[in-house]
Amino acid sequence: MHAMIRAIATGAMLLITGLATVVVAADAGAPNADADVGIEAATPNPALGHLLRMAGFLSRLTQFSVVFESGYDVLQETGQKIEFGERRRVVLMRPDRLRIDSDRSDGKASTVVFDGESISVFDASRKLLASSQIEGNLDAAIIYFVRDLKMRLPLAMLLLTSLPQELEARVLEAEIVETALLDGQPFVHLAARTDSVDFQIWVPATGDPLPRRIIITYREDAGQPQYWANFSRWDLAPDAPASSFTIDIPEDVMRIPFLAETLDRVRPATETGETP
Amino acid sequence: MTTQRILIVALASPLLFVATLSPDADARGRGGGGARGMAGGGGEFSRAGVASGGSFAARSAYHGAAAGGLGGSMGMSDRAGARSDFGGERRDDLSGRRDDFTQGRDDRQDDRDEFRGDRQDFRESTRDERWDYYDDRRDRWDNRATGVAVVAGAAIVGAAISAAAYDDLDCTSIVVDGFSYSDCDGTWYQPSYDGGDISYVVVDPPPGY
Repeated sequence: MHAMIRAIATGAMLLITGLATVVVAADAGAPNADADVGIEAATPNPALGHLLRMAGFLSRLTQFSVVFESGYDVLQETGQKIEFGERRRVVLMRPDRLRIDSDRSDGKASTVVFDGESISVFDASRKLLASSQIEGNLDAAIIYFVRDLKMRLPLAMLLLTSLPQELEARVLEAEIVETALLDGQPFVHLAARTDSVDFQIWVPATGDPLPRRIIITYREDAGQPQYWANFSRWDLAPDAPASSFTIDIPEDVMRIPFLAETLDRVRPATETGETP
Repeated sequence: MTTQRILIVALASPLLFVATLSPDADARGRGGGGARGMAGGGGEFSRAGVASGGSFAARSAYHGAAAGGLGGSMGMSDRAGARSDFGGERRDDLSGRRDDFTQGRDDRQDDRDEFRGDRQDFRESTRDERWDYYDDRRDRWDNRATGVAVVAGAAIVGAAISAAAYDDLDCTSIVVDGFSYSDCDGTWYQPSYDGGDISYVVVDPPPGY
């Protein structure tokens, strides 16, 4: 079953690549949702077709902004499951600009900015700034931020141009649950499984395949905690001047390192328990 | 009759009200301010967990999440190796007991042991490859756990305490080379971004201190 899904996904990926080439040739930088309809129709698994259509569309956007309200469960030591929330606004301009402003449910605010040369986190509530230089495009910066600096960046995978390939590598099963009405509009409710998580995603039944809602279930962890997010205010031509990708640093800011950097400095590499 | 019912309801109402309040008050005590719900030693519920990352991949605690702080991690391959070692010890023990048998039986037993050993080696080799395969599949760029365990009262270089625990200490902060350090009764800490929060890592004293 998994082999079949993988074969289907691989075939669809080849189709995505071909169609993407056609789209880029036709109109560089402009997303074309209609092109992805072909992917959906050509994929024998309709659920996978919807997923890859969404992934292909997102990965080809040259810029966008979106707001998402989200929540996640944290299982406490007592076994009690507590939900926390936050609101994030993402402004992304490929190839190398990103700004994410987040407000936690406890009122603490922070900003993540990638300006093409370094990625920084500014905690306005506590006036803390951490910054690390990273060369490369936005994909490289995001992966460096999450993998190497071990920083939190929910739904980071959705921001990558390699999203179709990431999904292709991870999704083992995908099914359509139903067509669900959200705020009166029809959305295809998809359920997918990877080797370590289950996720559900709601994408519009027609029009641009921009996700409206997502739920990730960490099925192998105690209490099967979930992360959920509701997307709104998608803007594919956001007003984002260059100043959006800089941080106004107050004079009394305190510079701190990322924990991964601190540990690299104070411990031998073999003690971190992490592979490079 | 109607008057009696009204009287009974009137008398019972305060009791029902108190009975209704009691579980709620108990819940607030346990969840809101009680020590049982606390984590990180700072009087707060922990905000950090596998779901907080919002990742499309997970490395559960079983697979080494939050490991490395004080003792390193044990991934699936390590566990498979540990099980193989344990199996090896058991087989050695069994072989030792077989030495008490007669020589003829020992010869036959040696043949069987050799055959069994070959089969066992094959099974373990196959199993290790399978565990490594799953390790590879799980080894996504976005499922990395934070590389330190936050512990209370830590004073080992490389260990860390939560911001809430740090707030309970009596510390003096200084800035060296643009970075902040804190001297808390002789133990030096450096605040660092840990996931989405701040942890205070025990470090060696900064140059000149």
